Amino acid sequence: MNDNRTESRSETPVEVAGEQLLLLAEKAIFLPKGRELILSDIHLGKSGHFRKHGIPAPGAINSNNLDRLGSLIRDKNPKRLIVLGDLFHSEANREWFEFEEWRAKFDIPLLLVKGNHDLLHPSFYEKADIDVVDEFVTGPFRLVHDRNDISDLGDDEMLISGHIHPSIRIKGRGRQSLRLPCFLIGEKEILLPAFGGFTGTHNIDPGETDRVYAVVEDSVLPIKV
Amino acid sequence: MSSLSESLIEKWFNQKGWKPFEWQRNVWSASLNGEFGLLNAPTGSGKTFALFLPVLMRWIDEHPKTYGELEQNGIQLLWVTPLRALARDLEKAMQTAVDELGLPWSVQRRTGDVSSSVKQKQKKQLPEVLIITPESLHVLLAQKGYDRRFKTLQSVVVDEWHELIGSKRGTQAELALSRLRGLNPDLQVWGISATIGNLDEALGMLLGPDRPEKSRIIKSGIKKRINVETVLPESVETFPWAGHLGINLIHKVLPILEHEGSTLIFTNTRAQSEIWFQQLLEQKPDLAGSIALHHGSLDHKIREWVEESLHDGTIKTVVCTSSLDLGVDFAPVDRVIQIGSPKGVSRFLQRAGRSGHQPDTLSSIWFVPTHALELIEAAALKEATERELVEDRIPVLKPFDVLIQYLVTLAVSDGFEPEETFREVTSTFAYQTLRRDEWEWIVQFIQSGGSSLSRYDEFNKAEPDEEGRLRVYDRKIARRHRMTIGTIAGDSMLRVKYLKGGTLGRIEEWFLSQLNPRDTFWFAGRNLELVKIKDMTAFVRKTKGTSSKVPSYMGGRMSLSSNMSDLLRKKLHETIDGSSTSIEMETIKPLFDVQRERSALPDDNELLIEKSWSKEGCHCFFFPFEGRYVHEGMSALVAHRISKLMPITFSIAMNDYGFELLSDKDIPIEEALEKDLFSDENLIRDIMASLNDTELAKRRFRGISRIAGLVFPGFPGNRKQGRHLQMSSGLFFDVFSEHEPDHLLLQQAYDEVLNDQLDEARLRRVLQRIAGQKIVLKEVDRFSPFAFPIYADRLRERLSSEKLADRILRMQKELKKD
Repeated sequence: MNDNRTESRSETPVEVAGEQLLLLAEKAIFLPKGRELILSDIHLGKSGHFRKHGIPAPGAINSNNLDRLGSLIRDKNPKRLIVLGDLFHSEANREWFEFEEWRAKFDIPLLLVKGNHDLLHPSFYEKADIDVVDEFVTGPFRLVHDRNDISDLGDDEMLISGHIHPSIRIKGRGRQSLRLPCFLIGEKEILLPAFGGFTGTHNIDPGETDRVYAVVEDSVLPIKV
Repeated sequence: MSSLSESLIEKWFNQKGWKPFEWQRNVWSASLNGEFGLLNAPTGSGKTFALFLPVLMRWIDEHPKTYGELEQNGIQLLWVTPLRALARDLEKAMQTAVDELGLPWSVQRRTGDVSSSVKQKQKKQLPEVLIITPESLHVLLAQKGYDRRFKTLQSVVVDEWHELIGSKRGTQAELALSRLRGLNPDLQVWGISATIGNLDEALGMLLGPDRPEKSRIIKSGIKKRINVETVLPESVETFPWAGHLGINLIHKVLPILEHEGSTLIFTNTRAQSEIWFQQLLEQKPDLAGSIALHHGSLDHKIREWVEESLHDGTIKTVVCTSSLDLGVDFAPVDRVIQIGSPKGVSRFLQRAGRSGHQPDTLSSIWFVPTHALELIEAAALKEATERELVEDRIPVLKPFDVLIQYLVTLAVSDGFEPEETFREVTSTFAYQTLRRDEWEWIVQFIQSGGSSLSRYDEFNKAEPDEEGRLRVYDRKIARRHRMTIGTIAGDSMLRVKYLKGGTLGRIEEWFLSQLNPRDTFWFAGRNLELVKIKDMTAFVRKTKGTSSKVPSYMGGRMSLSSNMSDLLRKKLHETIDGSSTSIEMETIKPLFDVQRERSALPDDNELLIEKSWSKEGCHCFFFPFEGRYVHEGMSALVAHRISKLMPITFSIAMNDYGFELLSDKDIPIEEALEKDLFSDENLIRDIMASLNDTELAKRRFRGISRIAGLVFPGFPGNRKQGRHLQMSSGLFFDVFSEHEPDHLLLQQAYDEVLNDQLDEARLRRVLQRIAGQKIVLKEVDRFSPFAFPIYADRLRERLSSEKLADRILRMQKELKKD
């Protein structure tokens, strides 16, 4: 393995609203200023939910998601982890306990900006030491789960949201076509790809002024649209 | 003839003015003798009565005094049929026979079309004769107490067995038979099959590898005389090179409809049938009232009405799909028109056989080519019909998905004891080679959901009860399973209904999801406006206007059978050496001249490869004339071998005549040929590599995941319920590949590709044939007539040896250039 891999891989710096932020190939955003790690739509517990209902999704999906999140935290050493909603997919199942156990190993503040899937009783979040909010502001950024819930965005505010699980279709000569999960940076907003590994994607149709960054294996590449 | 029953039957035949055929008598005595077997007889020959009557005869002889009074005797005969359209006609004819013979028996059908009140009654008491599809039979096996209901069953007849062989529905029938035999070891089983290449194997599949001693094949010996006519274009110069609708010959089809009597027009897809129906009416408005449409998406009430109107003569012409492929003895038509390639000889003969039902009458079929090259197929079909070159039906072996579904079926009803069921399952033809370790994996799989070692797991499906029988206790899981029984993979369907009531049928959800309210579309032969979609139902109203969308339907594209592709090459050769006398080949000659002029016309000792450039990049066309399936595998193999020479990305298309590799880079075909592109060395290694490089297996997994219960289509009438358990088969394929690469269902997807597209033996045979051929490589300026239809196909496979990031960077660079 190439030793430079961890350095060369993975992060693409972009400037938005006068702030620097890093788009990570792990499908997360890192804000170096406040050392905040932002990601969205993990959908923990989803494989367990399927399995509990008799549909044999691979049981390893959950621990795999948690392992990926763990190494990202170790790698970036953030001051705060912010999840933009859909932390846990369903009503409680035992994969929540797996998450709790994981959580106990990371002494780091965890903020959950509530998503449509986050319907567990507050005591679950309390016990796992998670602060739950409907939205959150850090610097010029206003963080929500679903951008459609916001109608009063201020002129100097920049929205960051998840929910859509965006992906981009790239076409080339020779009838080539690819579909990749992506970040979208518009004039007023940033869309995050879904972090979770069993979640699917939704193709977006970016506007002319939007910048799109596709997650291509271990790197984040700017895409012309 | 001496027994009471025989004289009764004799009398009944006399009353009807009928006379039993010799072979019918043979079947009666074999059946009464307790023998098992397969009856080889065509539709319209009297095959139904050959096997239905002996069941009545035995009953009469066993109850000579009381047969006229005994009611509610429990089920005696199960009649399995592949098509629900047939069930209704069978029901009528059998009930009439029973009534006229004075038996107070009830004949009923049990298919997806039957109302739930009838289903409820059948749950209490099954009729003496039940007509059923394989899926519905599994639904009955999923009901508690099925063993009591089937306790009285004496005989099973599987009708149109050839139609089931080679599909997973056939495997379903085999499994159901194994269970019924488990309930009654003396169960008598017969099959009825049209002529296929492997009748002996068909008997083996029906009765299992340990077939009973007293078993045999009885042939009716009826030879149908079939007259094949090709509808020829005035000139091939103006006939399209590609396309599958065939509408441009409609003016030549209209006069055929004017003949006395009834006509079935067979199309290959539902969309095609809708378009033909619409166009026929537009061209000749006075057809209105005497023409109807029939396909599998239409509501059963509409289909029944069409079938009835066809029988009683109020409808003269029906545009249909395979939904009317099979016929019963009681509903003849006068002629048949086939639009576009039927892909196989058997299917063509079967459809031809829908006309001229009397054994001595002539069956007439017209073949309508939809593009120029289908004229070669027309010539091939004529020869195949003459020589009766029917195909083998290749049995499906060891499909794990069907077995998993079946075991859960047993688990939701009365549970199953693994050892007993293992014996039953391995007594079928399909699972005779099922290994112990595979069985144990599957039994484990339905209990633990695969190899989850996580201590947080709470997989819930089958669990053993105190007697060790595996059962599903969760009622929701049981309910979802019953809903999804059936092996025909398809998208989730929405009901199409008038606002004022009245259901028209069902359409794939993905088509409707592209429409907005007030958009119009053509369905069930009507122009409709979408009003709203609610609860898995699309509400529509009738509207005027013609420029509507026609739902196109997903579905596998069939491959030309190897019999047909052999004949295709033969016809080409006959044209080149001048020995052809066929009118079709005469008609297509000008096209061959264009082919020669632009490229070359390959004889059967040559393999033609055309290389050309367009705005899209570099194209290489190969023409082995081996049928779509072989080309799918071969193109993957060839693309893989070329991609080892340099990093390159291909988009691949194919049809029955050849395949195309398209790349944005210069394809190094000369270098590849020098390096022995078609060698059969390292074939297995390269097959495995191309299997991994393409999405062939992933596509196979769509059907498998649905049958095995991974993908849940949702409840009818309630769209939201169940949504939280829906995930695409593609994502399942990806997560299994990542987390459980040894999963048997993944294995099955790969095996299915290796059996069909990438079958080693067949590819080796083709490569060896090519090794004896001269390779003719032509640089071509304009697409040739052979290449054009392949080029025009949008459905493409992909294969790449480039790094993904490099590929994207280059695609992006090219974008800038434009």
